[in-house]
Amino acid sequence: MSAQNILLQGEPASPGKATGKARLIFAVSDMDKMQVGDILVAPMTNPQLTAAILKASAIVTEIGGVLSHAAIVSREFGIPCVVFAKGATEILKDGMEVTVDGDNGLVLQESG
Amino acid sequence: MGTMGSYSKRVAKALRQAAIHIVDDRGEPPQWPMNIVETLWYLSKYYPFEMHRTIRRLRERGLSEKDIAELFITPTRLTYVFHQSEFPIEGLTPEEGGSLFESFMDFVAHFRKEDIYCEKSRNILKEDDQIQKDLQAYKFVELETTSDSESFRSIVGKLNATMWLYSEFIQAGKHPYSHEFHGPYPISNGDQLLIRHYYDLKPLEVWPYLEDVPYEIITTFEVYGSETRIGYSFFNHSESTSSFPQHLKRFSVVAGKEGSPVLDIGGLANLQRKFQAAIEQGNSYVADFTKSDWNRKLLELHFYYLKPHKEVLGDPWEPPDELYDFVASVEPDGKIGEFMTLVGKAFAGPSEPIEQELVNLFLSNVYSPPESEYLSFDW
Repeated sequence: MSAQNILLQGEPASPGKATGKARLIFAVSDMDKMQVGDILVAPMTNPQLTAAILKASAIVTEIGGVLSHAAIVSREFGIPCVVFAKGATEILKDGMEVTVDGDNGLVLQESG
Repeated sequence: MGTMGSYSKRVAKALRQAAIHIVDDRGEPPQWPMNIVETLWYLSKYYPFEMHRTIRRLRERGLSEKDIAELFITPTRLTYVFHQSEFPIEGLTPEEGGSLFESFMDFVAHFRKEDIYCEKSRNILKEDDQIQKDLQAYKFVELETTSDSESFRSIVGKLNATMWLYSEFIQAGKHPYSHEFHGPYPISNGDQLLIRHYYDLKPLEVWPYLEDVPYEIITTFEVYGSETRIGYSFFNHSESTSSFPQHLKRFSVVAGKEGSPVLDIGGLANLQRKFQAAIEQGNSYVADFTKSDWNRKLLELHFYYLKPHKEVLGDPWEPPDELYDFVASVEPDGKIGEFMTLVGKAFAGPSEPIEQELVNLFLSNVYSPPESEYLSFDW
């Protein structure tokens, strides 16, 4: 197994692991870049981002807790989610390949 | 300013659930379509007053408490009123404020058969014999003997996620006003049944663009093994930390008032796409909404929740014109900032002191509201 660096530590909100390209979504106009299997990264989510949420293999938000919007939708959808990951929209870059560990509240990247 | 006398312990217990809800969200209130705290501030000016007046008139008309409770359709529509305590209950005396919240606990107790606070994460609305009838009435897809089990699990999860988002959209953030998740009900072999009931999915009076939405009601019956941890809170939030869609053993999806089953992957995917399309259509519809537009819509929606009550009274359900003008004229005051500072403490430190501080504030707002500054007109 290859080593992974911890990029972010937040709160585990929905379990499971998923690897994909990070997509930073700040507004509805950003949703066009979201492809099926991408990791949705946002300050928070809301129903205006439905089309992007339904393509996501995992969600990472900067704020919110286990009862926040992203957490609830992720559990219903059965995808990993990490919330309260401070700095997520600054540390993660569009297109960066990352792994979301929803069991431990981590966002990881292959080292080396 | 009124004075807070004795208060109901069970109302205080419900207000504690509201405090825990806020703290569990780490003090970060939902922000769509506008900050929920600000929404509650606006509602505090007219909505408890309107609920109190409507319930009083129904009693004067001779309706029983059971009959009035059933007009609210589900218990969770009632529980959300307890968040209204975040601001002083305007237009009511301390006795009326306390009585209103006490009545809401009676109404909740009419629906919830066991723990009205869902302290053990169980929202039990049906008796055992009703559950047995449901299990026999509907055809279920058995996933342990189906080759497409993973596809079924995926589309059922996606449908539920979509319906949750759709509920949130049409209720302008207050998603449980269009869903009631109940259970878990123990059934044979240690399995447990969850029922997810999505209702009032086509409120055309409020959202005319929903004309093409295919169903007003969708109910999913989902059976999981005993190892799956899932439950529901006082406010109908899922309390599972496990990824339960992958553990679905059998299910039935029933669409429409006539109860047509949708049991094939194509049919379920089609259903999901239609509700996803309705959300996207709705996003276009509200794209240019201003804060003032949302305030008007929130006013309409909250009066719409009392439509069944108004029909009994023979009244129109729509808000009076004066109230639209009133909502447009009031501006948020410093109480919103004060409340946000208080809940901001939930970001750091132990949760218990902040929960207690919130409960004390809520009790004061319910049992010792100030004189109304705004409700001076007759409507």
